[in-house]
Amino acid sequence: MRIKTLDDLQAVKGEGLKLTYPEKIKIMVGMATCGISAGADKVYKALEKKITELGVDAVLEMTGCIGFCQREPLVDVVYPHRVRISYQAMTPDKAEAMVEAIKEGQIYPENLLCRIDQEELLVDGKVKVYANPHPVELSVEVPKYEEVPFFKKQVKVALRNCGYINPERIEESIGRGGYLALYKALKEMTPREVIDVVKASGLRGRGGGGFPTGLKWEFCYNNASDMKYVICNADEGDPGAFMDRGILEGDPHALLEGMAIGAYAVGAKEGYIYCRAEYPLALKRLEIAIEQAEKRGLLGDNIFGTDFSFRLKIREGAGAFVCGEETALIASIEGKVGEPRQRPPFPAQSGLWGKPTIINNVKTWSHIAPIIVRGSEWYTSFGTKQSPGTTVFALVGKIIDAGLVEIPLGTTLREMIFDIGGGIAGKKNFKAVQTGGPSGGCIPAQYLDTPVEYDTLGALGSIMGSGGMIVMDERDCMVNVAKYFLDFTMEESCGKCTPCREGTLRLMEMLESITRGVGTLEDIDQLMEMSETIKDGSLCGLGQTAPNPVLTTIKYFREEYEAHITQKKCPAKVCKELITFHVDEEKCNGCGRCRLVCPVEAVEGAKKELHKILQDKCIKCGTCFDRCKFDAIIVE
Amino acid sequence: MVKLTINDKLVEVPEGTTILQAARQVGIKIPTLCYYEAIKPYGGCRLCVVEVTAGPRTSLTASCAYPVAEGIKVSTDTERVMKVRRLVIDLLWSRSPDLPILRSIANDLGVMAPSFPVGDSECILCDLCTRVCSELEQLGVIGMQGRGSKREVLTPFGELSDVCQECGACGFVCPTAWIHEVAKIQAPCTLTCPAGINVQGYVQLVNQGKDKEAVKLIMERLPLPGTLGRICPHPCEEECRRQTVDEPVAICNLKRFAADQVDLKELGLEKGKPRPEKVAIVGGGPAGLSCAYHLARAGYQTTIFEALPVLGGMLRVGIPDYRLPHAILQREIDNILSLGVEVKYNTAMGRDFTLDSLKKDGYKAVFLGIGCHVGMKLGVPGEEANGVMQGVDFLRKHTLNEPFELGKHVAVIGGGNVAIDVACTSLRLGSKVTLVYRRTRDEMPAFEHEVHQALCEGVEPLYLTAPVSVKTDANGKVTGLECQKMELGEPDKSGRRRPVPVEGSNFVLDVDMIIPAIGQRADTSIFEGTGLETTRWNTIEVDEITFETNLPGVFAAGDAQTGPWIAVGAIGDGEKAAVSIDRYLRELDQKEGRIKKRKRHHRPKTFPVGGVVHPRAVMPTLPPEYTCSCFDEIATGFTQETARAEATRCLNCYSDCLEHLGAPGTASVYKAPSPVVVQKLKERSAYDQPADEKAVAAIINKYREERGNMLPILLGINRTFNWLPRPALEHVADDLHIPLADILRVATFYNAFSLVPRGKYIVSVCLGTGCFVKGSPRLLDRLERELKIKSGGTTEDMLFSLEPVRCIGCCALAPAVRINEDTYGRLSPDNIPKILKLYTAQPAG
Repeated sequence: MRIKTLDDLQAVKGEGLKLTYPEKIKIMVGMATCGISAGADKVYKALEKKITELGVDAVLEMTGCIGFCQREPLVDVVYPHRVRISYQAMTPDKAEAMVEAIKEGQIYPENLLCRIDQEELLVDGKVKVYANPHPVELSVEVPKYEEVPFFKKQVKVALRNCGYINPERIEESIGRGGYLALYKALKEMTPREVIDVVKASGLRGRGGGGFPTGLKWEFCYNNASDMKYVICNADEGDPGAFMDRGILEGDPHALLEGMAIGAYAVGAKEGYIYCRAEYPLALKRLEIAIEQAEKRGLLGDNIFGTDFSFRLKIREGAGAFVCGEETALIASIEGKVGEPRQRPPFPAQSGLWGKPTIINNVKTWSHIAPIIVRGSEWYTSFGTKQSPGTTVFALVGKIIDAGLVEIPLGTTLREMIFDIGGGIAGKKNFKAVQTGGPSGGCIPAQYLDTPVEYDTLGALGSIMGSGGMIVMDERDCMVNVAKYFLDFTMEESCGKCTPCREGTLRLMEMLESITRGVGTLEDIDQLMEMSETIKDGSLCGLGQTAPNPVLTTIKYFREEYEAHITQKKCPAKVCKELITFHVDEEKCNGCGRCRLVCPVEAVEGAKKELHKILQDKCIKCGTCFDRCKFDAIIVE
Repeated sequence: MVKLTINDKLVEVPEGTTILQAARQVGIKIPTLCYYEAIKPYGGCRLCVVEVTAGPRTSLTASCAYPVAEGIKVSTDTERVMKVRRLVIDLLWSRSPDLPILRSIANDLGVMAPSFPVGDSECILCDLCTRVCSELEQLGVIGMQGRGSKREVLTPFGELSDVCQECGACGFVCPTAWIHEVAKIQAPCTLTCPAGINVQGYVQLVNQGKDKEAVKLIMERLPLPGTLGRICPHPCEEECRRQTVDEPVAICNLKRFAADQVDLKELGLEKGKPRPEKVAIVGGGPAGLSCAYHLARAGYQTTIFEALPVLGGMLRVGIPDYRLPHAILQREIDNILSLGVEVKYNTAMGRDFTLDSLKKDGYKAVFLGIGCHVGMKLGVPGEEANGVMQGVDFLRKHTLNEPFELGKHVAVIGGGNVAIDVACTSLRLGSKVTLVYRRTRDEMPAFEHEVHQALCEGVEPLYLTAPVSVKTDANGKVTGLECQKMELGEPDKSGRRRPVPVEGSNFVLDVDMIIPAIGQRADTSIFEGTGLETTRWNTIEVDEITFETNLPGVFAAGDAQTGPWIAVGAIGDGEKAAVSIDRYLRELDQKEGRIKKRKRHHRPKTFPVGGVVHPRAVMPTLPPEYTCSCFDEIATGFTQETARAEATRCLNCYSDCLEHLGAPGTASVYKAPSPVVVQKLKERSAYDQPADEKAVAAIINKYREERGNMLPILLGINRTFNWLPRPALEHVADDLHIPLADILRVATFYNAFSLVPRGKYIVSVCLGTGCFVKGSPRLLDRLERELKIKSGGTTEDMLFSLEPVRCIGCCALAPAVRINEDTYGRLSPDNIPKILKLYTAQPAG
């Protein structure tokens, strides 16, 4: 049925809610890429098989990622009018056992993560309570969702539906309030009013730059043209970041609706989603979402019976980090190489095919619908004055609980890493947290209480970025980390402008000589000076931020650079040229594990006797170090 | 108009002007390497950065690409600006330490030596060449390939594209001249020269001050450099691409300059091993001399049979010595003779010997180069009168000092070079000269500068006038020329407007001598009875490639074969005949590898005017008041300074000579380029499987109507084949009319594409930061060792390709490896062998 009126929308909403909350047991498997990689597809198949086999009257569904990647595969069992229980680290065997338990009318007692007694229906401003009026007693002990440290401080706006709905069904999205904002914008608001609300919400570009979204739209709105475009930047290129993937795979309609509203506001009739080819599942779910939205009349001609028509196309990126830069992205959609060009003119003046264009990131678009329905005041109640609202981070690295987290801006780094993320894994010490990907910087322990905001992170020499947050511990060499990021930007530089193309190459040469122990103290000063000039002189954001990892690591970890140079030592014991592996004669019990795993036969020793590492053969791969259970391998 | 300040100076410029243009207008110099006025600004080199304050923001920006805006403040020389410029030039200079242009800009900016370890590139990646090729010429012959510091300018698949128009725009805009290495094609001048001289090569050698080498390069083809340097009508200059900027390079004058600097005896021309065969050259004009020269150098016993007492043909007896001093010609002829060429003077065919007698005398081959020495008649009554003398006869008698009676008032009839030579010679001998020509000065076939010279010296022209009859006195002596006025009618076949007589306009010109100079022909009567075929234009019939006549062992070239033409043509054809004679005597195939030379280059439609404009050097001449009364050479030749400056005007189109010049002294240095083989348009490479073509066609059709469809199409092909096969790329190029270079630019830019076949399984180690800090580089190390390939490589059995991936977004599973669709997380290096086994054990994944 095509949706033309509010009644139509409400009718579909009813359908959707029935699908999301059926009157029988529903088993949901988190089937985003990370879940599937962790084995969710095998779990799903086992569940399916067992349900059929035992004839259990239950619905099996897939859903997106609820964010707790560390604990994948995640399975949720929804007991109607009772409770929803989340299970973690599921396996096919356990899945089968779970179905058996359900068949017996029991709650499967293993791999429990949490119980969910109520869910927020964010757009509607309502709460879906499983058992009214009070949560039911359970036969097993399981923490409540809001008590789990990983979830406790999170506020989900962009991720409002991820892990709650089947992303391949538009009805479920509508059930949780999807497309209500589009209806409201088209039927009750002028484009100008839409822009005013977005402006008042203080929403800033979540792609990294933090440019006020409403202002960007206003520029575009003010540029009269026969044709305008809106683009979603889904070319999530930062290494160690997968926020956009989470949304694309978990709730594609959030993005579609946001884009349609944006198009209405600026006067665009066509839009593109530029999504990287490395996300095949996201691309598939986007295609399904667009098709369903078109069928329902929520994309296409005369949406909600108005004059507004909007078509969306997907463009696959082919793997070039620089295409995250808006002018490069536009060039790429035009079928050309993704080389940025100088601004002005800004895309809002002259963008795709020379027409006014707005480009926003997946996360930015996903914030739009709730802002339109709930209003700017509601949105600004989250976050800080300078940076209102929430944002999504991919919290990864040397952390106990990695995953996708959405926090109100202003949450401190410490809260994120130690409360949400559970602290540093493996009894190691925190060393630095890297934000902003290759454009960002490494922030040391003394700044852990810094609130996460655009300006505060900027003041530390890093940037908010698109949302990668990589935690590093004492075993991470900061010179090597700088080298890693520089290698990335050097490889990903489009090569158009000299400072970025040639400059990163030269910075890399200097860093390499430092990690090889042949650098000089003057190199450090030259690195800093050159970095500043490259930032100043480069054409686009890539080059203008590429030296940030170098600058921040020198700023906060200068002594580590100096150790490489003056003592020829890598304090974190990472840089191969500066370390050697030895066997601790006290601790070695001759178990032979290191000898067996050594890929180059550099370990010798008879069983139960002291082993020895042959230095001329050792390639310093560290496998023996990892494998020794007795801490008998020493790195010096 | 927009008002802004540049360095605190108020400037007003039209809207749309860039800061760079505005600064130049007020005389502020901003260096740049990637800017060219006629094409879109690029903003890549960053040398032109300036500080711009617009509103509350001050930022550095490329001035070439920044359109002026009302009230902006621009500073072009702050320390911040200089810092960036210094770094940029330092980086570029370090990359390309040998480029003078970088040194000079660097020195200007205070960078006195490259700071970084130096490279050896000559390309600074300014992208000008490829941009001008695709943007301005819309050809896309060359293109940038690769990304970042790996980018380079290439032709598709390293082959010269058949769409190249050889316009040379790429070379013109290249700030380093490096592009010539990429497009190895002959320059238009070289292609045009009828003698196939490496024109560009010698101009470049003169540019470098290597006059001797230049002459040697010329003499590979042309034995008379000083001669042709004076009288050649230089068709090369007509094609010279420099004229699309301002005027053609004075190529011919440079040839003369080089020749004048060099003593031919010191050249040490190489000579082949002596061969026993005797060859007879009939006629010692330019064709015969050239043929003799090349045969002698090949080792043959060569004898010239010359009807006149001197060698040189028309060069000697048709061109007055104020244009070509006899001594110059003689010096060069003597040089040819010094190779062992014998001469029989005053020996005429048909009178002193015949083709048969030559054969009897042991000559194994004969070259006929008898020229055109018979003047064409006017066809008017009274032409046989005493006092009428053919122009060619007049010039011959004069140069050979044969006695004749000169009129006091001479009418020279005609508008070609011979007519002018006759007129000027008569003038020098003391006559009053009237030049009678039936069209106007604009239609005169003679060189403009010679007409000009003649008029300056005092020749009186009578345009739009045709002779009607010769008036004589009772003794049959000329007393006047009856003429008729003409007017110009419709254009004739040659494109010139046909003269039409004006009724009743007859008048008599009071002259006592009439010299018709309206054309010459060969005296083919001497071939009667020999069986030699001639054409209806009274020229010798030959094969146009080999110059063989219908008689075995007899070859012909020069004016006798072409009709009156230019010396350089005769010389070129003489050489070709020499090649044929050599092949004939060695019983080789005549045609193998030889083609009729065809000009292939085209002028660019829209040449990028806007470069440094430097007018052509003018040949200095003696004043006409002086030259009109003596036979001193009019043109005095270039000075060193003029010659070198003129040679630098050469755009050095493409220039295969560049690499030759790179290593002087090597054998290849003086090798003239081989004639361009005109290929038919390249055919598309064949697909391995016929089904592949269908698959690609389907992909193209799917996206055909979409704008910007190149990326989806390439992704589709890449997915289907696991790489981008060449036939598929060519298919896309043909079908969508996109230059192959543009497609390759895209195909080499994005990580997803591969231009070489990849393995069945793509092993992608995730190098995202999450994986990196958890040790994914060690996974990569291990995979490299296990698969025995480097990152980016493919195993020999085509099973695995190792391609690190930037991030697969599974950071919680770090470190991870993806093999095709399967992801493996939380790995340590020693898991690797086990995982690989999953794919080697069961081949069908």
